Amino acid sequence: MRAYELLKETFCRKLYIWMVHLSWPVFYGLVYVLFRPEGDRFGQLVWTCSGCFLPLLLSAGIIGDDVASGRIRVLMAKPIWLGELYVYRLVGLSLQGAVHLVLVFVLLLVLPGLIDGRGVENLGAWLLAAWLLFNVWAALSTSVSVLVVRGYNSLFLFISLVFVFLVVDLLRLPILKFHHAWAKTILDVLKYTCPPFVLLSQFVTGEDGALSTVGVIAHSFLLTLIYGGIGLFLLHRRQFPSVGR
Amino acid sequence: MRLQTDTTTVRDIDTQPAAVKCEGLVKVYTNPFVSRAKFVCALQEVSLSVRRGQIVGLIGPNGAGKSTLLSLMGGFIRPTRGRVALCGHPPRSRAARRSLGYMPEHPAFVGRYSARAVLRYHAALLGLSVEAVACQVDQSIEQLQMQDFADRACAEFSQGMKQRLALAIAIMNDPHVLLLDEPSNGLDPMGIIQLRELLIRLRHAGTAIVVSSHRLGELEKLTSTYLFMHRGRIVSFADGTAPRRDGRLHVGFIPDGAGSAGRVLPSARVLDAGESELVIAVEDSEDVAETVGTLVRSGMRVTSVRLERETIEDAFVRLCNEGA
Repeated sequence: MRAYELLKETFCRKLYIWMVHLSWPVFYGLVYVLFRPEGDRFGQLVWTCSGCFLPLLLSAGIIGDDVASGRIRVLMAKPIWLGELYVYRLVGLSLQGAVHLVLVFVLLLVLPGLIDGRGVENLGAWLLAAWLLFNVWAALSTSVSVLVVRGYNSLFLFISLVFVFLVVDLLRLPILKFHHAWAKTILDVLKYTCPPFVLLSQFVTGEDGALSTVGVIAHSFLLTLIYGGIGLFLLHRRQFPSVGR
Repeated sequence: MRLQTDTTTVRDIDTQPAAVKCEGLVKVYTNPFVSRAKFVCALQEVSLSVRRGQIVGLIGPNGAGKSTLLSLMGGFIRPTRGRVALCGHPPRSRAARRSLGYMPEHPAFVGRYSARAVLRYHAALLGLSVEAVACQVDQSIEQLQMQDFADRACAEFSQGMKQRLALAIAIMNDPHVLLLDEPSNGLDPMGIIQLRELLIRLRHAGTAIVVSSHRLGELEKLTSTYLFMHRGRIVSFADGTAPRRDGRLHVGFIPDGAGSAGRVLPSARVLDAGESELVIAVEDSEDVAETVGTLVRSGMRVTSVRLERETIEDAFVRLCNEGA
């Protein structure tokens, strides 16, 4: 009963969550109908939007709203392990991501078949990669939400994402990448510690073989656990003074 | 077993451990972006103990440290120094939270949830079964008389409705310790009366209640035990904080024989002697009957008796001045 209520809350807490779940598949459908993307391009679009931007939208204020409104203090007065709140919210997000991607999968199986009799290339692999990326982002965003009140956790992560991409692009400039060892080191650190964009795109294209695929999946889960662990630690250390202080 | 005569306790509670125990609490709000000199010291060496079945009114001017003290008792923040125990357990432990009920000053709920859904959610957090949750929800709705708005979305609630719902959540687990922050905010007169009756019932059941409130008149009807805070310190606690029990007794009489009747009392006790009214210093309520009896027996034809005592509001002003 407790698990059910805590999981349900992640779906029901904001009206826009339902709107996102309904409107994004429509958006994918429109893009397909209007632009008829070739090859992996459509899979990449779904992967980017559902793997990266969807968790940011769904997790906006997932704990920060409670902190800002003072509701977290009432929840803390209940005889539950505080970590349960965090874990169920993360699991709730992950389930939402899974259901959303299953809906998208069904839509993208049916729609291209009806329109031109062919399917989206590597659709299953792209959606699995999207779910793995979704989980990593959800864990990161939920952890940031422990510290950042209201929905600013998502805004903060979006700005950080843009910043990291700019840094990565800068470091990939030939003049840096090939002449300075530290540039490569930083790129490697970002590749393995940040949400695994590069690794997961390689996983879909199957460039590095089966063993590497397993490694990438394990790496995504490990990152999710590490980000989640940090969030749990922060939640236990965090203090919640009365609203307004 | 020994019954206490204290107005705030109704059964033997001396043998039980303190429901809330604070020892040498210091709380400094730090900020990495400001110098140490600007850190706010919200509490300084606060120690107190609240027994089960006791209602303590937490009063003091704004910024006195009342909310900080409530937050420390609830385990929402950690003390810089000192320790808190709820029923003998650290406040963040599950054992302590099993005994805790908390009602915030500004209750917040998921706006799309109805009162019933909110109650169901909180009942589920207590670890109740599906049947027990349904039963608890119905009971809470009835207890706080929320039938009229039980199925409306919380986003549409008035402050009073939110307060009722927050109170229902706070008392759902029959807490041993109940922390209330401005509980009568936004309640209508009927709601305030119901709240008072409910708190008195809980006190009778042995719940230790700490109420922070600026509504001194309301507090006065609940308890005579106050904890007055000023600038992060306890200025006075328990009987010392209660309004003074002594007072001025105004006795109206028919002027014949007043002079002789007044003389039966020690002159030091007669504060003012008018033609048809005496003002007499009395020590407590029992002294009133004795004094009036003495006057009547001495032949005074008493027409009216009025006892003028310090209200909690007067005590608040006095303590504010003393604290300042």
